[in-house]
Amino acid sequence: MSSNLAVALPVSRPRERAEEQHPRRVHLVSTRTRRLARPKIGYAIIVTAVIFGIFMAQLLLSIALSGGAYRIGSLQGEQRDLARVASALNEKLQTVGSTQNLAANARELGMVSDSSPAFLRASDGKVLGAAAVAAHGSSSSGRSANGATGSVPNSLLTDVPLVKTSTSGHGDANAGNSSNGATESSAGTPTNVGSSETVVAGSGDLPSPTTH
Amino acid sequence: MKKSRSTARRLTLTMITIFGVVGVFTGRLVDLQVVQSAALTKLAIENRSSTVTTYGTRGAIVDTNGAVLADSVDRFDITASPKVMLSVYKTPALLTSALTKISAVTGSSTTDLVAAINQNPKSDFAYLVKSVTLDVFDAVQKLKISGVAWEPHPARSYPNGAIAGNLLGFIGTDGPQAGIELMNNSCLASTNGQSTYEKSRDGTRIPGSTVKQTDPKNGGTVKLTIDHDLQYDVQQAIIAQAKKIGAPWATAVVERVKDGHLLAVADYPTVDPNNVSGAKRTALGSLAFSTPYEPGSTFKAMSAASLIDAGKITPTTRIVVPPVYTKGLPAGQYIKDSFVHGTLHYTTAGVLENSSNIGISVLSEQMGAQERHDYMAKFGVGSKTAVDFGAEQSAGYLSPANTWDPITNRTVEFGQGVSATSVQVAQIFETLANHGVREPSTLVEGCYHSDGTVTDKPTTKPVRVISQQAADETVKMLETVVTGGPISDLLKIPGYRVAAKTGTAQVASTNGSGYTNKYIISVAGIAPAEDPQYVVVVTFGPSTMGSSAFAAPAFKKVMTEVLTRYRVEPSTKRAPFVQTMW
Repeated sequence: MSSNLAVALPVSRPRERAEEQHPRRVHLVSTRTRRLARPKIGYAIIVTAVIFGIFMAQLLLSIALSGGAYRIGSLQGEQRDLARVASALNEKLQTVGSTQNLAANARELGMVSDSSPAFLRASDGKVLGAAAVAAHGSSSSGRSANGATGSVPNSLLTDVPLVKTSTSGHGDANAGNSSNGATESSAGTPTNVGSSETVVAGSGDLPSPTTH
Repeated sequence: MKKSRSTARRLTLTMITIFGVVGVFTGRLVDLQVVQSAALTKLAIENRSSTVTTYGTRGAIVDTNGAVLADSVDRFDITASPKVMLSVYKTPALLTSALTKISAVTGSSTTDLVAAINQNPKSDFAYLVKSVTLDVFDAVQKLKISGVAWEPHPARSYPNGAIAGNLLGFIGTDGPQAGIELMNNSCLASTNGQSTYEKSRDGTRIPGSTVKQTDPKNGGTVKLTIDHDLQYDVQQAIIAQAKKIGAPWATAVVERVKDGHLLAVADYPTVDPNNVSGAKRTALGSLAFSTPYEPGSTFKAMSAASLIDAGKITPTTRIVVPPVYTKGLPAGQYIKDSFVHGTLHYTTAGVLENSSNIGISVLSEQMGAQERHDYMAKFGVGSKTAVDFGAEQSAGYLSPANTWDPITNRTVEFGQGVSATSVQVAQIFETLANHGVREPSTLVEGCYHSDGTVTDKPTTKPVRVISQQAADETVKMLETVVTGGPISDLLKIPGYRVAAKTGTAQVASTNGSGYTNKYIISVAGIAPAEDPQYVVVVTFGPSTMGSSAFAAPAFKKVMTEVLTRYRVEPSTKRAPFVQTMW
């Protein structure tokens, strides 16, 4: 049994098997690749692609984020700088808008404050109170031209010059203003001035508000 | 058997050892990962991250119309690293030339800058120039000098200078030092924030790495009742007059009758908070709040009003005014008037019109000392006003009635032997003007926060001090001072009815014996008398000018300004006749 088997098999079967197996093997291999190997490569490609994609996406996202971070950084810097500029300009505005500066400029233009209050009532044109010509006060007694020193000083104005349109125009405006005031009061409201005088000279009466 | 037993033992031993080692590692792992986890994570983050302080801005102080009186501004300290600079600019000549560029834009001296760098050559930090403005800071940055850096230096600016400077106070190196800056610090102060994040090497924040962030909180805005334009005019008016008569100090208070708002509180000497070092130490506070003085005859208005309220007298009560008053006084002591006269026949109104000390002494006999004391206390003498001016505010001085000697018992009625601040005097006249009801004096309207909430609103309530009739009759009597009193011509404002009372108080000598030859003079007034809206009190410190006539021009100027500015319509009826003599 054993010799019979030992002789018969090695000669015939390998050939047969080889012949038979060869095409089978091709078939088997092809089917295996179809069944196993091909899907594996596909998966590998997909997985690799996905992983690559994820990495790329992460990289891009990270680039975008850090780009954003730099942009935020620079914008915050810009915002800070602009806020500083706004604050500095606001500070300058407040300084030139200070009462001392406005008063000094008004004086420079020849404006004076009237010490005798009077009102013109629009509804019936009556003059209320005792109108009088404003006295041209001494323009710069005890104070510097721009209000930096004086009785109510503002040291912030030390280097702030007065606003001047033009030197010649300024002189004209000054002269024009005072003469204007004089003509107006003499021509425009003569009775009124009279009434104020009587009051100041003083029987203690109120001015009669009858002027029209 | 023997062999297998020893193997088993060895195996057990090994197992135990392995378990032991694993146990130790596990224990450590648990310790690190669980027990200490939080602390270690924090440490790790701290190692990687940096904390940046974000600064809040101190709030502004504005006047009643929103004009800014005090504000925070950006300033910058220019700093340098001497180590870096000396390694870049190796020779003194190179260093000097670099620093000269800085001194050219900052205006500081090159020698100082060189000294600052050489003071500690190995140091990494030195101040070059402190507190420069943005313009200068930008210019320094443009120079691009190696080793030069900067740091922010928040500062305070007072755009309107000395206007209300005495009220505002100022900020010293240790924070707020006086005035509103100090009293309202809890409103004005900002809270700094912090943000901690991880930083890359170039200092940029790593995205999404903010660990914690506390936003800075800006300070609130303090709104005063002061009108800064009026304040300017009032300050000018009293300063001009004080200089003219040689008074060392002066105050003026403008109070709105209907709500007790202080529209102007002026002091001389003034301080420009931008330049505190340029002012005298004594000029830094507000005298109108801090300095009580014997007010003199302005108190007579309150005395008369009290007597009328108690039903003891009327405006037309007839009294005989002797040449000197000696009743009840120790032998040799007497009370006299500022003018020499024989026996006069005055009514109560006449006593006020002519400001007779003897007359008010005679009238005050009608009421006991304690009762008169209580009336004064009710008017606010001896207690601080409702204005929150902290320790800087004085309550004045009103001694208990049982300590009054016979002469003080009478002199308190005309404002001697008792003291009050200008704001307290204004408050007395506000009560008279407001028909007997005191609206507590108010200087701060409130603290306005950025989120829209308002805090620190005045909480005080009006107080009925005397009856409406007593108050109105007193105001009517005070009109006689302006229509017919000794200095009426100086007080009259054309077109308006004004009620006022003058005060001339001889200054007590500092050694406590008698009086000096100097006087504190004042005028307190109400306008328009027929519908009181504003109270003005001007006071001038001790000068040799012994008449309130020297205070009257300033009063008139201030009151005129008030009436014009607030568009008060001129009076249409004459002052009613009030009998002053009989």
